Amino acid sequence: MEKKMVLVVDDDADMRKLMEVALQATYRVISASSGKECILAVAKEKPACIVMDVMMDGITDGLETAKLLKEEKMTKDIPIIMLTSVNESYDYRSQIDANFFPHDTWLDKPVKPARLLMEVAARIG
Amino acid sequence: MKNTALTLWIVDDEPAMCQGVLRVLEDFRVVFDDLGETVNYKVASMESGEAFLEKLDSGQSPDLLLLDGKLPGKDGIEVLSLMGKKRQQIVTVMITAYATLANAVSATKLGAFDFLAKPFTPAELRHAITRATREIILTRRARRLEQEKRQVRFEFLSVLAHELKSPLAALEGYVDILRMEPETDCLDRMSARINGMRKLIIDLLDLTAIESGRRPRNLLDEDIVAVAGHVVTNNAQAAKAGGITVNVTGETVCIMKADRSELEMLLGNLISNAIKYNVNGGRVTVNISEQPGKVVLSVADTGIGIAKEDQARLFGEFARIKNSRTKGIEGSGLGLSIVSRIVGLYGASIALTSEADSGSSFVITFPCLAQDT
Repeated sequence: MEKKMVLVVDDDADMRKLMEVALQATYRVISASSGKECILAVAKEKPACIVMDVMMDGITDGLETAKLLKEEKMTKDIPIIMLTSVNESYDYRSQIDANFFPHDTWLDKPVKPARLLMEVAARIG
Repeated sequence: MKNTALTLWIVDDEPAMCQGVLRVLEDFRVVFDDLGETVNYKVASMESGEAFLEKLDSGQSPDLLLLDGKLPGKDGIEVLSLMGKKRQQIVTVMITAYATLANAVSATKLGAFDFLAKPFTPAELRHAITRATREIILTRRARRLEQEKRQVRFEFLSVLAHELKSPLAALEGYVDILRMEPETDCLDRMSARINGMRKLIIDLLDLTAIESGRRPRNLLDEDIVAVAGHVVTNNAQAAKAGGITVNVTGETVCIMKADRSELEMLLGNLISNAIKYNVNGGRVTVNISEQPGKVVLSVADTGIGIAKEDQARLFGEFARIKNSRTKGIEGSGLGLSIVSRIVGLYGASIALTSEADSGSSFVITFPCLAQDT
């Protein structure tokens, strides 16, 4: 059976590499390094799941991109896992309506490879 | 010109007084040229202190209050004191029939901003309103500025935390992989991240030291040409790795009153950037020229350049231009903000000329202070 595609979005080249390594045995991994690149990649091929860093190009790049995806009919059903550096000074969760974006979609960086694999599998099998 | 409407309430039991004030203020505009703001007034009147306090309790409040000292029931002074107890901060001008010092003093102690002695002319009324309005506008601006400052600091700290945690997360990830598969080739990447983090911490310390003004400055006669030569030597290895030629041209000696470590930071950041963002086999030219009343320093490179739309934010903290040409080039994002702070310390100016793919040139002009001798 063909592997499902996971889109990994992070401006840190090493993080992208590490996430690819964590997921590549089970999934086909495409990576992007900014919100803009993420949108382009999604337009090219719809991923089964997206893993995205909250802060990339600018303090809320990831967040805004996720909102955009959730508002589009074609992409709103794609599960998005948000990665955040636990940072009390900027509470992203308060920026979002809980119904729009459930709390369990947040993972605190750094994520252990096994944990990342488990979270993705829990959403798309 | 920004148009601002302020609400003004007049509390006075004489209807003629209320009507008079309304008439004077309905077409009254106060223009603050220096602040770029024009103010107009929405006026309402109340007959008694009680009526006013009731309105306050219902959650409404004016920006400006004209309060008669003598009222039936609670008088002006009592109303002022009750406002104070409720912690209502409304800029208040007291209208007093008896312009006695005692009344003015009690009113001021209770928080009144100004007072008008009856009988007053329309001109006197406008004058008092203008003073009170200026107070309101300035206070609002001060508060907005404080809020903006806090927001800027907040964002700086958030990005900083992210920038410090990212290399650690990457290192931790690589350590995990090495535990599982010790043969993995990732030591070079790990080294690169460690160096990047060290550079970030050093730059951060430099930046905060300059910003806080707590670094003691040693302003001595320094030869900026010699400092440039020294910095170029320090960057020789990086230049060699990219086949970059670095030249110092112009004056052979140029003495200026400066702090040596600041000059080193300034030149260090500009020259290492010029080397980093260059093409293989490219060139960096540092030129120092002494002109009447100034010293002009320029650092030019044949590198990847900076697009016009990216230039505005280049000197901001953690500003990193991320595009296909900068992919793979590491940096703290603080170098140019350090440069711009140091330029500020000398009352100098910095100009950037650059276009994507056609190299960049940074020109700093230092005003020369008159020689002591």
